[in-house]
Formats: sequence, C-alpha cells, structure tokens
Amino acid sequence: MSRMADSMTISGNGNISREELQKLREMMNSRALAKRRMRTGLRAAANVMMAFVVLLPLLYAVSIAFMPSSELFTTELNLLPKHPTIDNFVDACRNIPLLRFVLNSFIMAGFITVGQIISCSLAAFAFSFLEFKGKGILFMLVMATMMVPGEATIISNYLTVGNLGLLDTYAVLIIPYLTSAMGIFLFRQFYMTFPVVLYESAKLDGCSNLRFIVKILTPLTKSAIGAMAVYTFINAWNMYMWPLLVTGSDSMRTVQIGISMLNSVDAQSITLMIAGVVLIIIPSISIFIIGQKQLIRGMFSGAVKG
Amino acid sequence: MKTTGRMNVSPYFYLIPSLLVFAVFLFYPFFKTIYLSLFKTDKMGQAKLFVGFGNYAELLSSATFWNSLKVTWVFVVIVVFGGMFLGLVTAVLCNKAFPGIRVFSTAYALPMAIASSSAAMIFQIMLHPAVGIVNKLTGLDINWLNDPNTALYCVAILTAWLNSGINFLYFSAGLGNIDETIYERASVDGANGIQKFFSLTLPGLSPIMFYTFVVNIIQAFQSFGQIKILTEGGPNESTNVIVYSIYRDAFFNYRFGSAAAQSVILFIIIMLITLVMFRLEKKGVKY
Amino acid sequence: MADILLKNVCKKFDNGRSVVDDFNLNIADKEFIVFVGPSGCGKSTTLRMIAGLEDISEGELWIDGQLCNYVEARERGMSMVFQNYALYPNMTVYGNLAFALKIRKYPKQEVDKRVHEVARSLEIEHLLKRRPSDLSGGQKQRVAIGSAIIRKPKAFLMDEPLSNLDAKLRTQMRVEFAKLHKALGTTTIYVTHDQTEAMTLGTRIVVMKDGKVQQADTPERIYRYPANRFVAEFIGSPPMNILECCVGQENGQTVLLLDEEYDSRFSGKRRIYLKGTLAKCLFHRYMGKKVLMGIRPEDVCEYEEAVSGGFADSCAGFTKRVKLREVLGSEVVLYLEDKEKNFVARLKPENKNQAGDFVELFFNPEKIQVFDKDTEENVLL
Repeated sequence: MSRMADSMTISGNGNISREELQKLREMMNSRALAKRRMRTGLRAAANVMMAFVVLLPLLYAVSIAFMPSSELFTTELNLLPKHPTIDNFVDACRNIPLLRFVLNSFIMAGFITVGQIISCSLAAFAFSFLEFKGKGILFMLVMATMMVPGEATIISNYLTVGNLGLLDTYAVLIIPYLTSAMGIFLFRQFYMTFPVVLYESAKLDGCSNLRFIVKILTPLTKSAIGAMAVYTFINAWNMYMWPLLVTGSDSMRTVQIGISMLNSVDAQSITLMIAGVVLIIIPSISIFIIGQKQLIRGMFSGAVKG
Repeated sequence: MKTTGRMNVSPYFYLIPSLLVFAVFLFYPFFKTIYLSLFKTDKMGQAKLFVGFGNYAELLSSATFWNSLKVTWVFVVIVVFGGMFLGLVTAVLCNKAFPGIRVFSTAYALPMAIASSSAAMIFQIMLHPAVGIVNKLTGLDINWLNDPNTALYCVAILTAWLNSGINFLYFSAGLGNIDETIYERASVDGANGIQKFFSLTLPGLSPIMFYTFVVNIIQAFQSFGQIKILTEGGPNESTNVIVYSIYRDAFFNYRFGSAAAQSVILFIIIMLITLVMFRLEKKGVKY
Repeated sequence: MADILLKNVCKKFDNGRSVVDDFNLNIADKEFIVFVGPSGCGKSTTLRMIAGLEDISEGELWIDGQLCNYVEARERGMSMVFQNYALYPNMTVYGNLAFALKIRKYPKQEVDKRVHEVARSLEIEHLLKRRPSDLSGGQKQRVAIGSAIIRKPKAFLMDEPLSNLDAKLRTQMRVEFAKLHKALGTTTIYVTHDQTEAMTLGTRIVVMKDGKVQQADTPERIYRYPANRFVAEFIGSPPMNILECCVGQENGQTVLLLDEEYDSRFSGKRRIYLKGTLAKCLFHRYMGKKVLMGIRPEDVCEYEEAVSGGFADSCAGFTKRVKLREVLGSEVVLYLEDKEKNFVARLKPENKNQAGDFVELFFNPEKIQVFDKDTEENVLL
C-alpha cells in the first residue's frame, strides 16, 4: 500500500492545478474507500468464519435435535433437517424425567449462587474493613484453597458425606459449594476500592456492620454481585463429577448426570439425546447471554488488571 | 496495653460461614486424602493397613501410572495452547469496532457457558464414524474415539474449545487495557501493522497472558466429564488422564488408598507448576 | 527539517460535522509554530492530519514540496509527542528510545550510540533500564521527547505535551523545549490550550476557534494587534479589557466617547483623542457608530503616569469603583466594577486604592485597539 502512496507523491511546492488535484483526490479517495471496504469486509468475513467454527458444535446439535432419526443415517451430507420435527424433544422428556432433573439443577445452582454471594461478601467485608488477629494468615489460607484441585479432596469428601448418610440429598449437592475463594477475592478486590472513611462514617452514624453490608456495600457492588451470580450459576449448572458421585436416584439427579442416561449410540436415541442436550443447554446459555455484560464488567473492572 | 486483654471476636463471625465450609470440605478432606494415601483401604474407604509410601512406590513402578502421566501431559499441552490460541485469535478478530461486534463476541465467549458433559455428547455425535459431520465433511472413515491414535486429540480439542470462551474474555479485557495512543505513536514512528502486533499487542497482553496460562493449566488438569462420557479412559488407556485414573481406582476398583496417592501427586504437580510460573513471572517481563 | 504547507485544509466527520475549516498556513523550515485555542477548536485534529493519523477531507498538505495527503503516517517522517506520552509500557526506556530506529533496521551500534547520545543530552542516561511505569511524570516527558528527537525527523509534532505536569515542572520543561528547538532547529508544531506556553515558545502562533484560524502571527503582533475580540481576550492574562464606546468628533479630532453614565463627583473628560491611521479609519467608517475598544490591563494608568507619558490631555479620566485589590509586589492589580465583566488594571505598586474606593484611570491612546461591534474584527486589520 505504501509503495502505491509513494508513487502518488507529487512534487512542486504548492503548485498543482485544480483539475490535477481533483483527479488525484478522486482516485485516492476511491482507493482509500476500496481499501477500507476491503479491510472491513475481510474482518467481517474472518469473523463470520471464526464464529461459524466456534459455534459449529452448537449449530450442529440444534440441527440434529430437529431431525427425524430416520434422516440421520444417510451417506449424504445432511446438515439441515429436511423434515424438521419436535418429536425428539417430546420423546426426550418422556423417556427420562428431564423436568425433574432441570428442577434439581435449578434448586442446586440457585442455592449455591445465593449462598456463595452471602458467604463471600461477609468474608470479604471482614477481610477488607475489619481489623483482627490473624487476618493476614487467614486470608492467605483462603487464597491457598484456590491451589487445591478438586480431585485432591473429592475422595475424602465422598467418604465423609457417605459416612454422614447424606448421599443422594440436596444438601450434599449444595453445602460443599457454599463458598469460594475466588468469590471472596473478587468481592474483596471491589471493597478495597472504597475508602475506609466510608465504613468509619457509617459507624459514626450508628450503622451496624450487617446493616452496612446490606444497605451500603451491596448496592455499591451490584456489578460484582451480578458477575458472581452469572459465573457461579453457570458453573454449578454445569457441574459433573460431584453430582455423579453423590446422587443415585432420579429424584436427585441433576441435568448433567441425567442427560447421560440418554447416552447411547444406537440409531434411535441419537437425535433424542441431542434434543435433550439442547434443552439443558438453553438455561445456561440464556443466563450467559443475559448476564454477559454484567459478567464482563464485574470480573474485569476489579479483579484482573493488566 | 489494656485493649489486648479483651479481644474483639465479632470479625470472626463474618468468616465463619466460609471458613466452616472450607474446613469441612477442603482442609479436612485434603489432609484425609494425604492420610488415606498412606494406607490400604477396604471397600468402604476405611484405612485398614498402614503401608507408608507403599501406594506411591506401587504407582511409580506401574506402567499404567506413567502412561497416565504422559497422557495427561500431552492432553494439558494441547488444551492449554489450543484454548489460548483460539481465545487470542477470536479476541484479536473482535478487537476493533465493526457492525455486529456484539453478536460475534457473544459467540466467541459462549463455550464457557456449556457443560463439559453436554459438549461431550455433541462431540460424540459429530465424531460418530457413520453419521458424524466430521467424517462426512472430510470424506474420511475414521472411528475417531475408538482409535488410540486420535481419541486423545479429540478429547483435548473439545476441552480447548470449552476453555476458549473464558480465554476470549480474558484476552479481550487485556486488549482493552492497551492504551490506544501507543498505536498512534507507533504509526508515526514508522511501524506497520505486523510490527505493531508483535512489539505492542502481544507484549501488552503478557500480564493477562500469564494469568490465563496459569488458570488454563489448572483447569486442564482437572478435566473429567468429557473423558468419562467420550472415552472412559480408553481406547487402550490412551485417554486415561490422572483425574480419570483417580476416579476409576476409587469408584470402580475401590482402591481408595492408591487413588488418594494419585490425588496427592496431582496436587504436588499443579502446585509445582504454579510456583514455577510465579517465580518465572517475577523474573520476567513485569510492569 | 522541512517546510510544511497547508492549503484550504478541512476536516469533516462522516456525520457532516466540520471540525477544521479552511486551514491555510505556510510553515517555513525551522519555525516553532504553536496552535492555541480553547478545547474543541480543532487544533489537535489539525496536528493529527499533519501526522497522518486523521484523513484530510479537503485541501492540500505539502511537506517539503511533496503532496502528502495520501502518504501514510509511517512514511511521513515526522515524530510526535503525545499528551499522555504514549510510552510503550512493555519496553524499557532504552527500548522506547530505540523503537523507531530498530523498526527502520538501523545497525545495532548506530542505535546504541544514538540512544546514549540522546539520553545524555536529556539527562536520562541513568534511567535507560527502567520501565515507563517506574518513571515520574517529568522523566516520562523526557523519554517521550527523546524518542521524538532520536530519529532526526522532518518535524516534531507535539500534542499538549506539558498538560499532565504540575505547574513548576511545566515552566521548567517549557524552557527546555525552547532550548531544544534552538539547538536542533527542527521545524516544530506544538498544540496547547495554554496561552502562556504559546507566547513563550512560538516563533509564530496560530490562534484557533471553532475550527477556524483566527490569527496567525508572531507572539508580539498577536499580543499587540489582536485580529478580533476573541484573540484579544484569549491571549494575555489577565485578558484585554473590552469597553463599548461611540466614535465622535471633537475640536476636529476623532474621539472615542466612553459609553458610561456621567458621575458628577469626577471631572474626567470621558473621551479619548485618537491619532494616525486608527483615527482616519474610524472617521471614515465608524463616525457616530458604536464600537468596541480594547485596552490591555498594563496600558491603563493613573494620572501621574499619564502626564509623564504625555497622554493625560488626550485621554479620558475613567472612573470606577474598586471591587478587589491584589498586591503582587511588583505591581498592584485592581479589579473594577463594570457592566458584565471585570475591568482589570495593572498599576504601579505605589497605588493605594482600597476596595470600595473610586479610582480615576487613563488609557494610553497608542495602545488602544478598536473592534467592530458586530463582526468583532479589529477595524485596522
């Protein structure tokens, strides 16, 4: 591009005829326009292609979910269903208690989300506004938990809850996840941006600690709470290993475990299974799309700084 | 000092909910796992026979375990680099404003909202030897998930795809943090687009790149659902990553002691990597 | 080193809003040009068009006799200092200085030599290994200047380079800019909103407002003969006083009649006798009409000084109540009651008037500027 511009430089100090200039301008403007159009076009094309690649599994799933199972087994490329049907969805719900699973997942993810927000904001409040013995060590301890992979504890946890007779209850699904080091860290990061004077003046006004958290901190950290809520809910909804271990009956299974009951590769059930998968992806994707802005604003304004 | 006598206990109340959960479901089981790893257990997971480092010795002399380590290593490398590369490419593509940018950025971040189990089931059909779209599009006839040569790559690519969503968000935030005027200065200084990308954009992403790298490694080590659903460690142990091996030893073979020992080793590996990374970061580029 | 010619340059955005309108300027080699004006006047946009960071909508940009409208920024051979310095955060000071040379594939020793040369001349040699985040504002500023001069560019473009510094450092750096320009002699275009910087640095000043050039001239002439009321009030601190008055005739001479209510306590003549071109011009074009008279605060004086200056007779005694008195040591500044604005007088330190007093003041007729009441243009220019 630059060479082209070089060849267009015109010498002759300020002496260029009106026509010449006009011609040059028209040529260069149309060239610049073409260049700009090409750039935008290329960018858009690259994005469309990339988005297609990224979304391909999902689009494919949706397409299969609407496909009658007879259509699936052909040698030709069958990207879109020729005779779309919703039978798969109906059958999926009939074959397994999908609604029950969805309900279980909602209960579990909902309690985990609310519980984490409460416990994390309480802990973060203590870590950022209060002074007490061992604060530094306790905070280090909490942060250190981020380093412990779930697998290092999952066996013992399983044995513990088994001994307590808690297997196959909502409690066992929810309680181990009622707090998170990441949540405490995120909230603390937000709270640290408020001056201590905010807390001190509230104290002078006779505001109790709890009241301060509920009435002052919570409204000020809406974006962090929103981000936490979206992130925690989606993660809880998508949890696999723990529910797999601790639930045994249909009445307690979450969607991620329940859906694997549809998992078999014989011809009849492929479309059925994918229809089920599509059904259970919908809630997490919807929450993600609705909460995406919140999530980004909350996660990146306080926590991660470049 | 008079005040030291009566200590204020109220701050601890705010920590109780979190610390209680951590104590019961993290600290206690963590030490219990270490304890269990030193014993042979019965089917109920009760420690029966103290064997010291016997479980570890057994593991270190078992070909299966070394295979697990190797498989995990390959898996982690593919997942981390694949996921980060996909996240970086999408973030760069979505960096400048253009019509429809919101749609595309949602699309790129979307994989983070999808469960590993759901994704695994979709991939299972995509990779199905007879009806799967992959074989149909490429014209190949490969049984991807039953071939020891391909199964691991398939599972790893699926995981990379799942992780690319959050990586996209990290990198987008990182790009947004780069001051726009340094690009203008670089233009005036005579840099072209490629020079700007390599001397400004990539280094500008390095702090977030580091963070993303650590998070990705830890996440990759813990992948489970997709392997359980797609391959169950097979074929021929070719996808038997440590986490899956732990699961199988504990809940199929009821060898809780050995599984606990593997968990401890996994923890040590992750901790070492994290520590090394932080040490490297302190030495390396930092601003 | 370069001369730069801007001919009818315009900048319009896609929505049709015009930011720079018909900008004409011929910048000779080695000049130090300052674009000054309130924020949003288009001064930065003009600079960015010269740099190649913005497209030129209309008009021509000639650099060294070459039409450069369509030459890309990196081909123009300019270097620019940005308001926020735009240092590359991931590079050391050395890397920042060397960047432009490395990109041009200069040999390593040459780069090294030049970096040390420049660093030495700016006294930042001890900082070479540091990163921008470890530097103070003033040090960052020096690095930014260093990376601009290291290339020996055709021209320096500076976009409000001092506005992020504190007042003391700003004064200090201002002096250094002047020294630097003297030493290197490189053509410089400097954008600022601060009229003091403009006055002290520029060999020529371009005053802009709403995308239009108001006046382009040397600092002395801009100060002495502002082209219109805007320039008169923008340049100089405190600004020029503007009074409405009427052009009349008395004893065959053209006079300015101060448009004030008569105050019987004072015997001032309330008129100013004019001479020369100004008198002729007003006589022909503005007789009996209202005009705006401008007088700088330091051209206002008390009776004694008017006598010694020889204009006590030709000038009105202008009486006002003092609102505020500021003693600055070398002078006394009085703020006087006026219709809308303050009327400011900078007087000799001997002045004893306190707030509430009435004071009688005289204007030096030689220094008076007259502006058209409707167009607000200087009647003489």
